[in-house]
Amino acid sequence: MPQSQGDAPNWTRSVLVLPFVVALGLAGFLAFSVWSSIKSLDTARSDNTQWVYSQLEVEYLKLERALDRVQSGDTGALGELRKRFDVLYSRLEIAERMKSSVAAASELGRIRSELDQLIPIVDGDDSALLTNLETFRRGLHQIAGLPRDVALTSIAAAANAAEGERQRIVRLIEILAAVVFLVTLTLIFAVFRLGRQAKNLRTATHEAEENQLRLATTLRASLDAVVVIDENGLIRDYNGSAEEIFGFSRDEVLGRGFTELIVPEHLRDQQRQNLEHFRQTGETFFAESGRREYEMMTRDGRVFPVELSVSLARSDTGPLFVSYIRDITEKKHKEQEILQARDAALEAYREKSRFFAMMSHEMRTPLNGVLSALQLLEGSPLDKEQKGFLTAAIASGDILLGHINEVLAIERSETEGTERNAQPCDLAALTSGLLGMMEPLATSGYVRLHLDQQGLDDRLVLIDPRAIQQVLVNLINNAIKFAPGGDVTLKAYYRPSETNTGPDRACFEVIDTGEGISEADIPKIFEDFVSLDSRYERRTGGTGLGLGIARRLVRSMGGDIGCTSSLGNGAHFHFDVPIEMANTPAARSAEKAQRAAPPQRSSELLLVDDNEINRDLLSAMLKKLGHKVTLASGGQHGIDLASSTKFDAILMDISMPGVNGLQATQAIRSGNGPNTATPIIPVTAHALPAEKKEFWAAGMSNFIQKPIDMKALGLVLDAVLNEQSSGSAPLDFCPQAASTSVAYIDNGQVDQLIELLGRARLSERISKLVSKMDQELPAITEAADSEDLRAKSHAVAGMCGMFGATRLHAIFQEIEVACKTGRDRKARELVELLPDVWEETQRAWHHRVRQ
Amino acid sequence: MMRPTKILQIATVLASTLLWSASAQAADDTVLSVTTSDTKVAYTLEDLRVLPVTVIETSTIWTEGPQRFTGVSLHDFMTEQGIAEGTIRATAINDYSVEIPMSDATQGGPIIAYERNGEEMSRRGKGPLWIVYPYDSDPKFQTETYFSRSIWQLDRLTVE
Repeated sequence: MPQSQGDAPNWTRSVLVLPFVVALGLAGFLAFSVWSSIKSLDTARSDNTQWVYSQLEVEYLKLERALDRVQSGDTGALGELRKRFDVLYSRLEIAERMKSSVAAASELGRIRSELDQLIPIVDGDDSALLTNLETFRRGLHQIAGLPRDVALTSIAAAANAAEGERQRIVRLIEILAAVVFLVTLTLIFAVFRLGRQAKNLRTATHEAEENQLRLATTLRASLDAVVVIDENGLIRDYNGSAEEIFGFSRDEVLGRGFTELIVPEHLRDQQRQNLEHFRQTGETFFAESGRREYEMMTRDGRVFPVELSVSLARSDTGPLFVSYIRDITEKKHKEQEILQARDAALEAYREKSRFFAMMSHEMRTPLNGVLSALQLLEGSPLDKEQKGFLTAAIASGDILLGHINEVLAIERSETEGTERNAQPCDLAALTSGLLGMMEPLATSGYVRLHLDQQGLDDRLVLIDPRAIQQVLVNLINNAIKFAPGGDVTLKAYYRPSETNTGPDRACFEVIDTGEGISEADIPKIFEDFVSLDSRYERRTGGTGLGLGIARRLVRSMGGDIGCTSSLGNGAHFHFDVPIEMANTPAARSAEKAQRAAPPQRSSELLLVDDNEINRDLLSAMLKKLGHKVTLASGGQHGIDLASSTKFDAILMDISMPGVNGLQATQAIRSGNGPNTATPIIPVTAHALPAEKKEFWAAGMSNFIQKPIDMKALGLVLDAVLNEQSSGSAPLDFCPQAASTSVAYIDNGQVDQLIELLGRARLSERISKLVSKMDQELPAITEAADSEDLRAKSHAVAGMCGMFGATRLHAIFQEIEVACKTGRDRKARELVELLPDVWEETQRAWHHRVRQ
Repeated sequence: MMRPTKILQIATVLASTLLWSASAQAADDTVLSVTTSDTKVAYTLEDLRVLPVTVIETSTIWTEGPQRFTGVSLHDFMTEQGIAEGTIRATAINDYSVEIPMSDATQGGPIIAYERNGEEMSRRGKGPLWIVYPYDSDPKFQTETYFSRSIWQLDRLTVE
């Protein structure tokens, strides 16, 4: 647009100017010619022609008359004659000088030659003149008529010359007139063009003004602040919104540097560098990069968030940055509010969840008491009616406990999140054991259980066994409930990964022959609190949480759960989880060995619990298991008793008023009494992994979960009393025992120890342990027999476990087990592993503690 | 050029007044007679020569090439006569007569020339007196009006 506008006048100008200049030059030349001609008219180049020639004739005649007078005898007229001769002579000279005399040159020549011949006569004395009068007359007679001829000829010539001159001037004037006419035409055309151009210019100016006005209005009306700066950072324009946002008036900021005015101090250097960079390279960081968030500053120094969009414009005076700035303080504030609201809602949800969990715990403790009392009552002599009531009470209590456990399971699945505790596990053993556990329930519902393990082998896989168990128990439970008198099949198999890169999967299917679920309902069954059959609900008393929990667990393991069913055709639940293979087939035998029936033996036990009912109950259970029990009503009481009497094991409640279980444990461990090395088993409803670690860090071993199941209690006690310290999770179907698959040290446990003791003390303890181990290890490798080996391994295993040396601990445990089961060769193989593992363990400790 | 001429003028004024009466008597050599309303004075060439001398170098339409005319300027001559107003009628030997306004008698105006190129002028050579304007010095003198006033073979001046 500006270029084409620039070309047009240039073109017009050259077209107009060239002829104009030429015409003007021509006119000037002509005018000069005419002027010179007029000038030459102004000054006469010659005397009056007619006068000169007529005077020649007049003087000739006067001379003739004077001659006549002399000849008639008037001698006094001689002077007159001479005078007339002279006058004629001078006239002749004048006539000769006339330009027009060229035509009559011969006549004039004849007159002169004649007069020259007469000069001697005229110049002679009077007498000579008188005697030669006749000669004089003849001479004169010779030229008589000539002056007239000269006059006629010359005048005609002069007239011609004048005529020629006049015509030349007339032609000049004509040409001049024509040129003037042309120039006038050109001028008129130019004036016309100029007029049109002026009109165009006026229109363009008007349009430009309107545009300017419109732009200015737009700028003023813009809700965004608009600040225009040049490449030196000087403000070139600034609109009304900018005045409002920044607090500077337009006049104040125009021509001043924007960095000092509206950029906060911490961003100024960056802005200056950006501008400098632009001046040198022409590259911009800000411009044309869309909207971005930034910070700017008001007149009173308030720094506020803005949304900024900068475009680069090229103008006549150099590049300009046009910045659109929006104050987003309000927006940010609202975003913040929304975030806060969300956080508050989340917090409220968590709070509610915590409250829920807390309430469940609180309910479970008294329920535990009720159920345990009922179990004890069951063993006393009752009549048939009483037995019926008791059965009803125990059934109701079990249902209530089931509800509470489900709620806690949800809470646990949410707090644990995806941190699944993967362990090497034998799925064949797991599924068999599980089905065995479900057998009584199935029998009561006249349901036949089937197990299909064809897709399994005896490899160990890394998996969270408890989560798998929980899901399967839930599914099988449901299947038994829904298929009374029918068949329930559990299928388990491995499926290689479909793509070679992904992990293999363990698949489980639970198939029943029950009434099935309508297809429309299938998507709903995995939601929380969904129970399809309200009548059945009354009958079975489910919370509707079971499948929701199952799905949570499966998903947390990275798998998925689904169901295919239709009414009347039974239900087919299936889920799969990704697995990794654990390369330690040896662990299985160890595990199996460990589960071999422990020898029953009577032990001295100390039970510490502030709750009298629980205390009595637990003591009754322990007595029933054949142990001698000493009771302590609180933490301090427990410490006192432990300081004087030696026990084989101490069962410690955790939540107690005054001195709690953890404190009591620490006191006993650090005291001088006979029980500093006695296993202390935590007894609590608290079951989160972090809490367990805390217990172990405090020097406790193993774990007894409330409400207490007598069978589980027996197993734990047997393990503890036989091995003194297992330092591991409570008994599972797949305990953590693989000598080569576990980490050298449990970082979490070591961290707890660091927290508990501080790095200096821990490293001191560890170095003590190291020196002790350095003494013990040679003794172990050179042990005389398997009983010696077992005893020595047992002695150091607990120490290792306490300081988080998990692999070492596992190996010692395996050695113990191998010794006990008489597999000496296996024990020796394991012993050979010890030096290397010991070295690695020290390195790991060193690394962890020094960190 | 003009300055020495002026000095010469001033030097000759006294001399001319002293010689006045004597030269007026030599009637035979009279070249110019001046008539005013109450006087009639005859001048010989010698009388004119004692008056302040003015030299004009100019070309004329009647001669070839630049000419050097020597004479008394009309202004000096009229001042000499004590005449400041009126019209001068100049008449030639052949009775050619022309009127010269007194306004022409200025410094830088015409002279009554008695020498051309250092020689006295014969009657045949438009002598002995010729009123010459400095034609080259001003284009206005190159017009027919001034040409007609350039009277040669002058022998009478009448001031009216």
